[in-house]
Amino acid sequence: MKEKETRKLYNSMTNVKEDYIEEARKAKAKRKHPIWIRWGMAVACLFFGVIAAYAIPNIFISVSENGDHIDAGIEDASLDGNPNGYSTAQGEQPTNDIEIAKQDQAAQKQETESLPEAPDNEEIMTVVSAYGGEGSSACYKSPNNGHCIYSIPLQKAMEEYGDMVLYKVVVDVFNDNNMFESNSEAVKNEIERLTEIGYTVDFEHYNDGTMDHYYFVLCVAQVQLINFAKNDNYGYMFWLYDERAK
Amino acid sequence: MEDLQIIDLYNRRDETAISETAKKYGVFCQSIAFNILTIAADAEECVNDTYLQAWNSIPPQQPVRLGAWLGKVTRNIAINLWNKNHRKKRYAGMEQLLSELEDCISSPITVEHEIEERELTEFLNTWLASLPKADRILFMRRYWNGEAVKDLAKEYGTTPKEMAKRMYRLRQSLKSALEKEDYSL
Repeated sequence: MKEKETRKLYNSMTNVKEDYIEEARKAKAKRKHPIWIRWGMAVACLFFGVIAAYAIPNIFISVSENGDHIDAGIEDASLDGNPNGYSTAQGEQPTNDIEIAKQDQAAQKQETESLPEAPDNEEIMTVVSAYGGEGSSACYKSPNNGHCIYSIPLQKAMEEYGDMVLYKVVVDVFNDNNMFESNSEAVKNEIERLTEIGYTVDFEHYNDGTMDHYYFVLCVAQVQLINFAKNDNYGYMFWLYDERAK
Repeated sequence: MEDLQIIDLYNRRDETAISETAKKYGVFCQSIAFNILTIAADAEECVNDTYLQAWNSIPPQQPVRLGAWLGKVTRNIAINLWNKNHRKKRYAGMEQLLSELEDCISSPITVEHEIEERELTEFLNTWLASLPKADRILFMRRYWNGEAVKDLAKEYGTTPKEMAKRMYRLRQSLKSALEKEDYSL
C-alpha cells in the first residue's frame, strides 16, 4: 500500500543538493578499533612506557650532546614569525644574525639538493603521526610556489618533541596554489626525486569501497621538515599522518 | 585527472573522456548501481549507460561536480531499470531500501496535502541541512549510495544492530519532519 509513496520518496532523493552527494561520497568514517585492539594498544602503550622510563636517561644524554642542534631547530621555527605555519620560503627578510646563518645553511643545502641530515642517532626513534589539542580543525591557505606550510598540530608536535622523534607526515603538493592529486605524475616525480636524495617516502593507497585514496607520506626528522628540499616550482602543505589519512 | 580536464575532453569530443571517467568514478557509479540492483551484469549495464549519457550530455551540460552528477545519472538509470524489471527479477538492494523507507510514510488520515516530487526534494534538502553532518552523511550513504548497514557498522566500529537503530532514528526524524509540515507522499 505504501510502495508508491516510498518509491516517490526514494526517487526524489536522487536530486538532492550535490554538496550532500559529494559529502557522502568522500566521507570515510574514522575507524573505531574493536575492543580487543583498543585493549591491545593500551597494553602496548604501557609496555613502551616502561621501556621509555628506562630509556629516558639515555635520551637526555643524547640531547645534551646535541643540544645546540635541537635548539636551533626550534629557534628557526619560532623566528619565522608566521602564525599559520613555518614558512621556509627563500627571500624573506631575516631578522637577526642567527637566522641569516640558518638561512644561508638552508640555501646551501638546497643548491646542492642534498638531504638535510637527520639527527645522528642510531637508536630506534619514536614516530609521531598524531597530536591532539588545538588547531586540528584549522583552515590553511594554499602554499605559494617555493613555500612550505605546516599544520598547527604538526607545529605543536615539533615544538614539544623537537628532533627527538621522527614525524610521519602526509604531503600535499601545489603549483600556483592548485593542489595536485596525490596520484598525479607531478607528485610521483616529486616522490622519485625525494627518494633519490634519501628521504624516507611512502606512497599509500586505500580504497574505501567507493573510491581510491592516495597519500604521499614522509617519515622525517624535524630538521628535514624545516629545511625541506623543496622544488621552487611547487608549494607544500605538511600534515601529521592522522590528520589527513584517517 | 582533474574533473575540469575530463570535462574538457568531453567538450573536445575526445573518446579518452570515457576511460578517464571510468578510471576516476567507475567504482563509485558501479557501487551505486549494484547497491540498487544487486545483479552485477545489470549494474554494469547501468554504468555503461551512464558513460553514454555523459558523452551525449556534455556539452552542452557542464557539471560543476562531475562525481555527484555521474552518481545522479547512475542512480536514475538504475531506478528506471528496477522499475522496468523488478517484476521479472528479484532486485534485493532497492527492495530492502524501500522497505526501510516505508517507516517514513505517514498514515493518509493525518496529513493535509500531497507533495510533488520536486517539492519533496526541496523538503529533503532542508531536512538534510538540519541534521548534524555525521547523521547526514550516514543517511546519504545508506539511502542514496545504498551502502549496506553491516558495512557501515564495520567502518564506524559499531554493531549492525546499533547501526540499524541509528538508521531507524533518522527515518523517524524524517517522518516527524514530514508530519510537522502536514505533507503526504
